[in-house]
Amino acid sequence: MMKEAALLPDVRERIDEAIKAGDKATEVEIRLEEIENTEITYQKDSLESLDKGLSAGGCVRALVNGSWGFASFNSLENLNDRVGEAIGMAEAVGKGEAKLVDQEAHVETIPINIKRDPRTVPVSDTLETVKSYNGIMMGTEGIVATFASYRHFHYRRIFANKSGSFIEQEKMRATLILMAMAMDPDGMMQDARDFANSLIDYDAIVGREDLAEKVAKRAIEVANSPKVKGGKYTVIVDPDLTGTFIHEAFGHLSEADFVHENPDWQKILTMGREMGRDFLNITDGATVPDQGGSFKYDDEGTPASMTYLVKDGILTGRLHSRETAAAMGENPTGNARAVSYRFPPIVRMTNTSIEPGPHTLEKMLADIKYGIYAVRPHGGQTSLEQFTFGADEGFEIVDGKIGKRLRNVSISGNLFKTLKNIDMISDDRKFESIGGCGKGEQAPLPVGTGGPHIRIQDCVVGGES
Amino acid sequence: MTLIDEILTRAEKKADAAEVFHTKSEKVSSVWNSDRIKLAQGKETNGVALRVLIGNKVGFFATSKIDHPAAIVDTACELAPYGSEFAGEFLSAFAPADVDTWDERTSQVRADTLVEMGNGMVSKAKDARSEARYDAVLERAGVEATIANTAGAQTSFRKTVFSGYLSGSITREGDVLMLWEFDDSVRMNGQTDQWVSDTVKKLTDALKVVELPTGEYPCILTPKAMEIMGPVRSAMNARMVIKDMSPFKDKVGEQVFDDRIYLFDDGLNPDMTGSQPVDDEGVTAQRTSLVEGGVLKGFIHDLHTAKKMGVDPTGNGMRMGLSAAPRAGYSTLTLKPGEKTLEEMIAGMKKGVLIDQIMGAHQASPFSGDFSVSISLGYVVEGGKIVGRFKDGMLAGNIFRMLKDQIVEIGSELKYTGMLAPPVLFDGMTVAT
Repeated sequence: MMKEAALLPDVRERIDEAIKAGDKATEVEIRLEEIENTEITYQKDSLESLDKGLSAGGCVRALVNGSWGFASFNSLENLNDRVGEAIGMAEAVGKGEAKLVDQEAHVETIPINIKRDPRTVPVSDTLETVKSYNGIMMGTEGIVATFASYRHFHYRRIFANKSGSFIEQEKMRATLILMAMAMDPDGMMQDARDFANSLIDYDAIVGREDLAEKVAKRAIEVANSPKVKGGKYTVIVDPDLTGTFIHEAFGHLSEADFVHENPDWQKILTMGREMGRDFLNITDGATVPDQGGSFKYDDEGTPASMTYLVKDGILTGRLHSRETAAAMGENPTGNARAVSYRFPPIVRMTNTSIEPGPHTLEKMLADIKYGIYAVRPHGGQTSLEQFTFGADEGFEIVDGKIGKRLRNVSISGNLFKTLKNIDMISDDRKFESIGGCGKGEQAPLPVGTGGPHIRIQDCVVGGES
Repeated sequence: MTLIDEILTRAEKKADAAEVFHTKSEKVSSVWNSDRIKLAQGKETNGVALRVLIGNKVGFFATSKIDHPAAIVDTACELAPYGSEFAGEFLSAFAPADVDTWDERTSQVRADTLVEMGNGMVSKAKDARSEARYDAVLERAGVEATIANTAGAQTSFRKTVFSGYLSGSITREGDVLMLWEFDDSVRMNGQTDQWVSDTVKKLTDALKVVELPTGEYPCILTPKAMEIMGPVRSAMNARMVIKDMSPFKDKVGEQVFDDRIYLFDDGLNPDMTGSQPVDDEGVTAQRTSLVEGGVLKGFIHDLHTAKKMGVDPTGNGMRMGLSAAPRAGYSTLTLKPGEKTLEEMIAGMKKGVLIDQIMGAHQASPFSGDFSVSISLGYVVEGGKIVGRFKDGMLAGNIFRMLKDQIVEIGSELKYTGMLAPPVLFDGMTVAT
């Protein structure tokens, strides 16, 4: 393991000096970063890859005459020149209209409370652990292929701006992904997958033989289960799939850069629009502890907050950067994020969730004569208001009870109709942080997604009709 | 001592063999959202990737922190005892192919030129179809790389890249139309004018929405929609073959496709950014025939897979970014074009569909080739003319079967969309609406 060295000697002084060099800019931001990552992949019977990386670099963003310029680099020497380069880029754009909400200066170093740091674990131990999970899956009768992957990253990030902020933050995540494949009677490969991850503790991925056994067993069950018959059903969606659904199908439309720049969508997403029943609440916020999208300050130095996107069924909020907040006359929400020092911050989600509702799962099941239970996301796509999500597991619901397993379950529909068709929401909630979100060329950005069980009436379920 | 020499000298003492890949890039780009320029940016990268062999195992470490050669060597050597198998050997001499992917004029393009070009492109499109909103990115890059190893070989190469896109969208509740044109090329050569005329024509053709009943139709897939070739790409990759995950594993020499199908990987096309004189392991670039007259000829290889299968490497050891070790990947997979232009293919169609954009192609089953994708941009053709756009369609089929039994005509105009492909007319495609 490499020694943890300071990003740069005299970093504070050098940043301060560089910011001073940008006196003709309205705002100058400097971010310096060091990212360590390790990836291990077993495929079928052998180790496919063991890759390790350490990336260090920085960037400058400058606002000059209402236009942005950005410069990123690996060499941290000559920060003053980099500020000049970013200003030059902004000047090449010409005069623009970008304005920023004023910001209080925040000076703070925020350590994370890591229980067991993956960087301190010998790679031989991690390899043995992942290999054993892969072995359990491969050794299961009927499994034809497997994929067992571990990865972790850790980064330290320094942010400073002309407005006076100087913030140091760090973040880690350790993730285990297990996948097993079995042949169905049509000769198609069916897979099942599951995962474990933590933002604070390597041990979350240790001792998970149970998960490997479960995934292998499930793959075989999925391959040998009947296909769902396509049609419209009452569908109960589990917390994991609910979280992904609300992030992908709704969350992206709440990003103010999208709405602000697209007046057609502003008309569609007018504040006060009725989105669902009065117990539908949708939030996004980095203040949820220890999830993928958790942090204290965003990448513009704005403190994290919790935003109600939908409250009591009514569209009430959206996600902002300093620029979109100024443009729309609203408050910044702390949602300006960059995937790394190679990119400028843009409006992104953090931890997005449907809030718990008033119903119990038993009650939600009780009056369903025949319906579908869809569990965990398994691929999917959205095109603005249209969405399709596969389910990793599907079951029929018969006379109020979860019954036999079905394969190829997917849900699809129009976002607005689907939100209105949510007629019950359970009183529990679960967050997941496996997700890496993509927007433009910036991916994967760690996010959290969460939710309770939701019940959707008249939901289109894919499959053969 | 240069960085590369220092790393290799140190690595030689600790490992059986070592290979360094050092790459630098410098790029400028500009971004437009909703008709307006948002940003100009400059990006520089500088990093090394070290691969060491101890016995037949690989230690791999990549970093942009290049000022600590000792730590780079130590990290890679610490990983090697646990690493994945490497069957090949590093080459003792490199023999670069004669392909020039550096365009001086493109390398000189600065941010202000991109801004001017992009502003012109967006306003031209806006003038032609003002109800649409336009997003765009323009980027030009210069990349240089050096590969050297302890077997004594060393070579350097460089390339220019001009890339970007123009997308146009028209939004109403319940009907969102979004289409795009893009390119990724060694040279800047008037792409933006082409994007404007294509985007405007496609928007215009799409204004009228027409009904299309579910059914079987002859179907032209444009190069963009040929994205469904994913399972074929995967089947011809030796990495999948040695894992016993390619349906083509035992099919070399067999007729797998229609006899009009010729597929090759072209490492020597001077316009394509996938071309370079040697691959990322130093193997000479070449043009590799994969399917000839429908007969499977072979697979793309890196050093490891070639040794495993007892064949010559094909110059396909590619790094997907600095931080991944080389693995078999395509330079530019190319489908040999036929005779007719797209216009002639449409003119010859009585009733059928033209599909330009699909979503969800990555979900196709890599093994069976079965797919079911959403059609995000599809047109109805009647009496040789495009009569309008149809909405909410799904296209289902099997790519292996399509290339074997359903080809009517292969078009003449090649376009790069991740592979270099012409439009192709297939018969009996199921379109559900």
